[in-house]
Amino acid sequence: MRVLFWLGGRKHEFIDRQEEVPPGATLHEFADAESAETLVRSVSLDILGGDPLEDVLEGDRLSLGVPTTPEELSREIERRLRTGELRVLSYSPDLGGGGSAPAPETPPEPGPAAPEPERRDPIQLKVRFQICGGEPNGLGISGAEYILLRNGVEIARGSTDGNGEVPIEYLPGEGHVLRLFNTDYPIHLHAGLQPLTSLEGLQKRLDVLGYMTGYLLSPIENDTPDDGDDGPRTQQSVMNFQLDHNLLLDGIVGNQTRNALQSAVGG
Amino acid sequence: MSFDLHLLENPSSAVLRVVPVRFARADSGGIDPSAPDLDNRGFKTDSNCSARGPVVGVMPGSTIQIRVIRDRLESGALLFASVDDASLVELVHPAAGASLSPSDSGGRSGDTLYLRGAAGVRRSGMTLVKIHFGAAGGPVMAELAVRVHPRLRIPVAVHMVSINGTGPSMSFADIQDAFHRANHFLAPAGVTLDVRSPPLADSVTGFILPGVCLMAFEAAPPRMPTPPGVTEHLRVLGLRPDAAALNAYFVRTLALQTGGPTSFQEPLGQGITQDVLDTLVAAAPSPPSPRPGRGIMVATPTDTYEYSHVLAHEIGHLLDLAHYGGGEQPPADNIKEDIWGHRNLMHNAAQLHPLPGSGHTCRSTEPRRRVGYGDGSVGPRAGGFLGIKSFNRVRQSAQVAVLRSAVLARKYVPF
Repeated sequence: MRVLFWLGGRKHEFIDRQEEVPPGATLHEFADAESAETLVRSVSLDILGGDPLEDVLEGDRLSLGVPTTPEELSREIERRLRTGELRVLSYSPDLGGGGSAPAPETPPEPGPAAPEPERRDPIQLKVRFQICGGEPNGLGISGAEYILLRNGVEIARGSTDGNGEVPIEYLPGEGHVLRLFNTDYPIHLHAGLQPLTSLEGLQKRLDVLGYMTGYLLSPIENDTPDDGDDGPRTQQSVMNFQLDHNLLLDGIVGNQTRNALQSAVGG
Repeated sequence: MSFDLHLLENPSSAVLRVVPVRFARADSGGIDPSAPDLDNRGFKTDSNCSARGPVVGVMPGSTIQIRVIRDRLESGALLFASVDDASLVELVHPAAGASLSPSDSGGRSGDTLYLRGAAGVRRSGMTLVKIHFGAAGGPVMAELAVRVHPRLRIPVAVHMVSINGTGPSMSFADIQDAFHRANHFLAPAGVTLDVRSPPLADSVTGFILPGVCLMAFEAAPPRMPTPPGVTEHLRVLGLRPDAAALNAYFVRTLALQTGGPTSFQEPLGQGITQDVLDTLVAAAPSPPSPRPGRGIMVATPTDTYEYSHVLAHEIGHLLDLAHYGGGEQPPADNIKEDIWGHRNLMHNAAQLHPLPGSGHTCRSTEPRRRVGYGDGSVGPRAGGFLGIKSFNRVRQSAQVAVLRSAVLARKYVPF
């Protein structure tokens, strides 16, 4: 099994390969409050696979509580290591937290090489909540309290600024949810897109650019941005995009409109 | 319930705009003055565009309903309404301090604002209705501008015209009903057509066919040349005009003359310029062309509902409103050939039924049909609104203001 956790903005992992605990792997080095909290949450949430240990760790989260203290965390992990409930034979020495982990005196047993930890820089995003969808700089909804969750754990909170904006530090591969107005807004970052010639690709781009916000004339609740139907909203959104880009207002994604969309969002 | 937000990994698109709440017409049925269309043209026209939320018009003492759409918002989120200036608009429902409810209750529709124009308003004014989250003083999530327009009345003199002994087949009661429906379109502008009773009985003789008035098009486009010598419509428009009223001349048939004096066909077009079959209302020409009178000519319709729509459209012409663009003319950069343009009462593709093969060149009939009142509605459910918002670069955008100015100047009376 593999246990992933985030620390210092980077992804690390423990890989249980039934090896010895390296000397010094007491994990005291990163036992500051912030990283300890991160570790507990990550361990409890990011276990891959169906190993029975998952249940144990899930239980740990419950018994330890969140947040816990660094001392509690260290003691518990050390206990697990001593009793063999948790074996940590490979870990990144760059664990942060103000100390450096000592190098293991004995090298790991031969075996499959541990996969290189995935390290992607966080991406800075913004979501703007506004009162009118038709204008790129429409009046923002300011002063609304929000919480940003990553993998179900709160990582930031605050209020929308004067532009109605919320900054988001997005870590690829993780689940992000923005919570405000008693509503959850899962954030999805798309590196690869459907072709612009597809309806989904078109709608996604319009959505990202803020044009799929709708000028519906009557309450047509089923006309959602991703309804898979080139309905009035999509066509109107194309027209609004065309208007802003001085294109022929025909609601048709021709060459000029396609080029403008590609220029704006790629793909 | 959650609402997914999709962002693309591209630095130039790292801001996603979300509008959680918006407004919509409260009814998906036919034209209803208590459920007016919103002027929701939020498009950008310049860098300093001031238009934010939609705008709606109401007359003093009238109550309108506006639907609040939780577009990307949980149904359980508490929303409260407020009115900036209660001397202009009263919030009838929800009551002060009460939140909107998604569920219908007490005979009121869920998530619906009930607003009443204050009875004492004597001058046109505007105020904002705001939707707050969480509490009455919470963050503003949506804004609706409400314009209150005191009622302006236009007296209408109805002429029942007999041509060579054949009068209109429409009853006076039907005519009154048609004007009543047309008033629904004009209500957001605070304009009311008052039909005088009884109607005036007029007669002419010497026309080519009994009951038929041949008409020519004063502002005829090149494809509709006015044949020389066609004067029947001018004679009708000059029949005993009431000097203080809008004169509406009802005949059995209006016909477009296409060739010689005996070459004519049933007019194909609603209004004066379009190709249509069943309804015909012709607005009288506008200055400075010479003519004996000013008014409208009306033929017997087969669809009274569309008829009232066209009636309101043609009366709009009489009161200085031009077309809102449309497919027959290339859209200028200040004319928005979009869904809102097509929905406008003064769109020049006034027909509500798509007419394949009829020769019209409107390239966007389909969007217009799809965005009528309700689900892809056509005909009786379709309709149009008058523009209330003002944009510097959009011609005829503030149609309500233009219309009211024309009424105040009594531009509906004969010369």
